[in-house]
Amino acid sequence: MDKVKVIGVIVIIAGVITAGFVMGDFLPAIGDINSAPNGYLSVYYITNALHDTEAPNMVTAVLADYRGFDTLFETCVMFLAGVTTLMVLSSKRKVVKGKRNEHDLNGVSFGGTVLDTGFRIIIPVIVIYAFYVLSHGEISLGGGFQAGALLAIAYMIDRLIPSFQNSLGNFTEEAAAIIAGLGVFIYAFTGVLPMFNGGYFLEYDHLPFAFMTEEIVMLHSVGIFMIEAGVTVCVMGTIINILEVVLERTEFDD
Amino acid sequence: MINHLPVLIIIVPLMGAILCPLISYYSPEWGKKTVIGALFASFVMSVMQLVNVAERGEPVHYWMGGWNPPYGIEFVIDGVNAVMIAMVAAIGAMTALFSSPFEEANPKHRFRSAGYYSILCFLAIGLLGMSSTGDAFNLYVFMEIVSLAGYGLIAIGEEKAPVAAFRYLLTGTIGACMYLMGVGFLYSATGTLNMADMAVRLQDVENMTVIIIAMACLVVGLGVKMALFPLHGWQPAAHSYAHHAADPMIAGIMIKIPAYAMFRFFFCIFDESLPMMGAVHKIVGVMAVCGILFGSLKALRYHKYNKILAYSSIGQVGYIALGFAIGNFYGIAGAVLHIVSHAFMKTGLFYTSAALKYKYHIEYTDDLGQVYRKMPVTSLTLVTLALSMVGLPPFAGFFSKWYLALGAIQNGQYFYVAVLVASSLLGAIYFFRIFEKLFMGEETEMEDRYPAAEHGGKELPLRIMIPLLMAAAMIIALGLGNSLVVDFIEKTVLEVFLA
Repeated sequence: MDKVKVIGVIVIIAGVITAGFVMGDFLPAIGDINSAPNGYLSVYYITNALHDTEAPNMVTAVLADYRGFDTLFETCVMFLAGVTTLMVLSSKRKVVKGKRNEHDLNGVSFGGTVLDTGFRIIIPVIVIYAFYVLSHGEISLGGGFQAGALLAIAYMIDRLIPSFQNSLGNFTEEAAAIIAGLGVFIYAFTGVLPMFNGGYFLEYDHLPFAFMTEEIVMLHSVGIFMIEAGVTVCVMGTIINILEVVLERTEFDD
Repeated sequence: MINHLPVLIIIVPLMGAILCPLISYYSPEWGKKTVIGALFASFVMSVMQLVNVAERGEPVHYWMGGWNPPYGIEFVIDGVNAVMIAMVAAIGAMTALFSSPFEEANPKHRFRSAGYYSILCFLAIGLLGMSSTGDAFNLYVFMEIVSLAGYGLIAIGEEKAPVAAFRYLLTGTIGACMYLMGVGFLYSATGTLNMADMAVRLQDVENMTVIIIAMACLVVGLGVKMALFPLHGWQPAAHSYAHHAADPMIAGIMIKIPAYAMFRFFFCIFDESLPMMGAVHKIVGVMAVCGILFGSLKALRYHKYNKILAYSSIGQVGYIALGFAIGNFYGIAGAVLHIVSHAFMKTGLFYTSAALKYKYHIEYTDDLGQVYRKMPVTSLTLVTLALSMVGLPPFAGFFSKWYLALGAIQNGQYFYVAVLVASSLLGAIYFFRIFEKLFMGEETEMEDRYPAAEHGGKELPLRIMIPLLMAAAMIIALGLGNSLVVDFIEKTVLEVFLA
């Protein structure tokens, strides 16, 4: 009976894939200038993005400015994922904290002496690179999500290699969740600020920092940087949160 | 401030949800109050918005970031979704209040109540966003928030809850993917994500294959999310084992808003003249009829209170889909009225279920014997809402079925009328069985975890009793004022949905 089911599922999937290939021409070809998506909104974004948002990177212009409201809630998804993981996994706590013996840890290595030393050098570089990615996101590739992941990796290396003895400090998972929440708060607050200044939600033209810049359009750079910073903090907090929740369930000293 | 209302309704609870962990770090009690306060503020604003929309007589548009619609995201609030938003905000605020005695039970885990309230608030935010937005992709983002919050709230429930949540996670992800694929296909054909713009540009599309595939994806994707038969597999387990206090909201509105989204797509975006539209209506009609009969028959089999309610939900979602299949003014008005009235009915019934669990830990209807003497308020609510579910006047459940039947008769679809009557009779059987246990069953000995004598003669904390009575009052008010609701949505339904 089970075999029949498995074969049935395979036949259905194969059928759908074949049908997809046979009827494949219902989707526009990649790069077709006459297709609907390439002839409508994209044209507007390509011609106006730089002028409207002062962001040389068009992807950033769409992501953080034209559709910044979507990105706010994508950031919320990160935060929510962290909090949910915390709630689901930490409901049954197994390992008592503080059972580790300091004396033993110095002898334990993560990837051998050479790699451990290498990691020691690499952490500051990762942190610097994270700030570069954050501030450069608007101009070329990069942005808040990647910068947050890099910062979290720096923390993660420090946390996982026993001989480092958590020199960057040790977050509890609650603290990490709170930090992630603050990241979303920075984003949402950037959106709320223009509303006090007579604009719509997330309308960077109305940010109250006009005295700092020469042109109103430059405010878009300020706004995009602020929300990217918020995303960075949120992503970093969430990754640390999930890492800590997982580490909580087992004693990691091997 | 009045022109910022559409976004403030979402941003105020969002601030509450993200600051709740920080505030709870210092005082869990205040973290809780932040979320409850934010949701109540959102409710007040949604009522103001309802009045504003009624006064203006035309939809309210809000442009995010000041970008004009096809380029940016916009919120569009018209007669129908103003009602939806007020409903979601009301149930969100009531459920947040209702949860507070349940979350006091775990004082050990400091983050427990903070996380719970944060996730609950996000569930409300996602549903509010899904009902407000005028952008197809933005709706997906909010759907994602609703799903994630739903997985979390189900997983922290009873013993069997993690498995139920995992099942829902797998099925729900497929549903969300199908929706996203549907939107992707529509984007490939029209080049826009704004719903109103999409409706205009769809008229010039020549390639019909892609539209038909998109329709199929949307029916399946939203069908999974609204637990429409035969895509309902995740629903009974998820609704019976979820966190007791969050269950009312999950069962009450999490499956209604995707139904509303389906109406938006098939009546506002797709034109009547498109090929296959008749077939889509027929297919959804068949699914609805099967769902109504299946849900009602299956509910007869169970003695577990939550399971009965969950299977009855499958039937009730069928009614909403039936209104979709009927597709004329009375059908749509009946479906919208049923979305609202069933949201309050099912939320209220799950409140009673949670209240029974809070006081006596009753799970099975067999233990209900003579409980009405000990819990008069809960029993009164249960009876009111159950009679409304069965469809007795003057409760709201009768009038939504009445409009559906009117619509079916107007279209000459007498089979649908027969299904409506049959399912009401089945509903009467399973709810009267509960009444029989409640009023005539033998009393069982149970441990009372909230003795009335120690709490000034109250059967339950006020924070539980107020939402219970509110739900019952809403059902009576909606029943008596059903013509007001229908008048309110009439203009929008005629101009936007059936234009």
